[in-house]
Amino acid sequence: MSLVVLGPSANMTRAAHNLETDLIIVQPPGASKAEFVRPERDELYTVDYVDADELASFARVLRSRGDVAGVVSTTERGLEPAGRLVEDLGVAGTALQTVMASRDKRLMRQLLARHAPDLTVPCASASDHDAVADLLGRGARAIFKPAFGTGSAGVQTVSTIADLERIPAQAREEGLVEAFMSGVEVTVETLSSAGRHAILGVAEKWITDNFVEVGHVMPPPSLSPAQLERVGTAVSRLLDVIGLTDGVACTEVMVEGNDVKIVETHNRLGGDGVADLVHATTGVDWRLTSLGWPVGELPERGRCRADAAAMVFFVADEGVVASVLGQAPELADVTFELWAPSVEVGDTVGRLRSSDDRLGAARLVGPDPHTCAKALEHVLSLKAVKTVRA
Amino acid sequence: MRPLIINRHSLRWTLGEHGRYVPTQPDHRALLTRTFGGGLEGYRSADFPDVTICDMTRKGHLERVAKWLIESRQLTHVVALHEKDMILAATLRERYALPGMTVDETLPFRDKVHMKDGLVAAGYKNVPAYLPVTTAPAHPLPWSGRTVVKSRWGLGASEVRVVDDPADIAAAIEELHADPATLEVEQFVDGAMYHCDSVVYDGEVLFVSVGEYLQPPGKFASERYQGSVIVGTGPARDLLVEHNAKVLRALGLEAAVTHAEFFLTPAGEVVFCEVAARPGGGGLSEIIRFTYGVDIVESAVHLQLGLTPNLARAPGRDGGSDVYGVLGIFQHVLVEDLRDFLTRQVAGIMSYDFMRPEVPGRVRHATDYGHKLILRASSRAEFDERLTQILTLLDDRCSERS
Repeated sequence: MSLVVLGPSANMTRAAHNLETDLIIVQPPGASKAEFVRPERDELYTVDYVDADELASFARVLRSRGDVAGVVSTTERGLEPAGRLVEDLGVAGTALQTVMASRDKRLMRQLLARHAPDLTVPCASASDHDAVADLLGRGARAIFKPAFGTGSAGVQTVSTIADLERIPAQAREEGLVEAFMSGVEVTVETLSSAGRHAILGVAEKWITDNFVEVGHVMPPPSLSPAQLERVGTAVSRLLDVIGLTDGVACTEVMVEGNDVKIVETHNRLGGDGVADLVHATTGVDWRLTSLGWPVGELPERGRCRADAAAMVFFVADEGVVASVLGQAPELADVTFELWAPSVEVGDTVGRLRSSDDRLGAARLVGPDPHTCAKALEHVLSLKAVKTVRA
Repeated sequence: MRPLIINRHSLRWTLGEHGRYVPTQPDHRALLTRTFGGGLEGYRSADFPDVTICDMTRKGHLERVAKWLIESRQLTHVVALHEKDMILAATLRERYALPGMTVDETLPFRDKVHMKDGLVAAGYKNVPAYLPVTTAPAHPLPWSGRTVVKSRWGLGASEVRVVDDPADIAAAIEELHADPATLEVEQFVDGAMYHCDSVVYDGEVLFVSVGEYLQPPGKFASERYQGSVIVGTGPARDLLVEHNAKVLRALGLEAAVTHAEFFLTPAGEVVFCEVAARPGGGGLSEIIRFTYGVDIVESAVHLQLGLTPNLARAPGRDGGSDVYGVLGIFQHVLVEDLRDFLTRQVAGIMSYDFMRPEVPGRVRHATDYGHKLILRASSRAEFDERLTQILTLLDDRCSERS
């Protein structure tokens, strides 16, 4: 029995080594995962799997093996191809229809509007000026986002039609405008089995003014138990709407009072090290779970390291790096498990436009979410990476 | 040029450091390899960004993967240096109309019955009596004495049995666990074994090296070591060079690197054993390079790519007075790095490689080495002395360890 894994990162490949199932690792051109192949067990293929013809031709190789039991992707780029392989090979994994309902934010909004209207917000195609004007007429501002976007890339506030028109036409064609949602934004990690959805972790986000995520605290310090319960219910309903019955998902929701609105969802685990927060606070190896579920390999729950945990990302103003704090600060009540700036003195730092522009990360665990949140704020205020104008 | 490279050997051996034997840009070469046997040794993604690692024990799967690579990348050549892949490579070339050896041209270098049939048909006389098992009468055989039962498709002397009595042939067949249709029987030939390693281009043997095996390859299962020493001069060499040329001409080879094996009987007669259209393994390419400065592996790759082989001999390496040989100590003899132990006490060790066993247990074929040494001496007598010295030290070490 083999499991096809599309585009795993080095971290995910290492995690996958704990699976008993043999792996068929599929890397896109330019990737380098040969060193991660387990001798005499795993296989590796280099495939431009976003190309439909290449994927179809590769599917024939997989089909002829006769031992593929499941297909999984751990990255956004591989979700659709994985869905196609699942359908083509008739094996376990997330069906293409479900993948598309989560990947295409326009489709997700349509489905929610039809089946769970209380969980969505008004939206319009970004190429439909009248609809956007109507949307803007109902609120002070709205959010433009690419229909298939990830990592906050391309997300921006739109207050007027003029703002919209400043967005390149091509991007507008492929984008949507949503009514602005205010409140506390959280990420919800779920594992579904035969239509039953279990919440593995909820993390509150720290976001910059231009929507780049710079921190996550699990569990969310700002939500009450009742709000958390509403979040769980909302996410379960969403997953039912898009037809996700099995596997992991990562859903972002906005909570304001009793109101819960869906921001977006993906049939993969959350990025930004949220998997490590799940592991720290629940003992569940979330990466391994996200890989092994199609073949029924779910790891046993281990020991919780803490009741709360946080990820914080280093950011800095545009310029040249003048100093980098090499070690985590000593803070009472929290333990830093990771302190990893990704830049050095002299490196050039560009404008912070998306997650890719962040400058490394730290992870900490603590006794409760409020302590972790305070530590996160402290790290952000330290400016661990300082720049000077070039 | 966009080649498919099917590799089962150490990657560095097959393609040189960073794939330098394949003179094309890295993303134009598709590497199909395995993890076993050093298939990723020295691998860097910058050298082979288009890499496929697959289970090569599943023949049908390997072929499907190879076809997929050729079709999806529109590859133009197939390079394969392992005996097991020669027919596959030829089949792929035919199917996709790619240049290089066809199946008909390859078969005489793979099927040991086919190759002897070809030689006999071409009038080459020095072939031992032989028969496919399927047509061999149980008794009597048309020869007397001992009989060799072996795979028509075997390699590394791994599927060979010698019986004294024809009545034992059936038991030998059973022991080989093989379909009788894949076996042959032939007259046992008594004599020292030699090999001729050649580069053939345009139907002409442009380069040949002759070596003498330190032990008959067929005896690997009961021995501690194997190896070979270059025979640079002498009447035996001249005779073998002549027979090698006759064999290659008789089989109609146009362009390839070959590894032919012959017996030299006590009466001084040369008898053909077998021939393959690929470089010999087990360190032979290294001692040839040390002796002549010619890289037969690079030549093999170049010929399969349709390029002219580079046979320029390195200065001072003209097969002169120094004698080079390879000694392979089988992996089960001693699992221990002997580099310091041997190089401290024996002169002339040019290189030593210790290979930790990937498959523990008895030796599987004639080059299943755990230790590989390249030895240099000023004469054959000195080479033999050094060889004896190493084997004595090995005995001592084994006694200590036991």
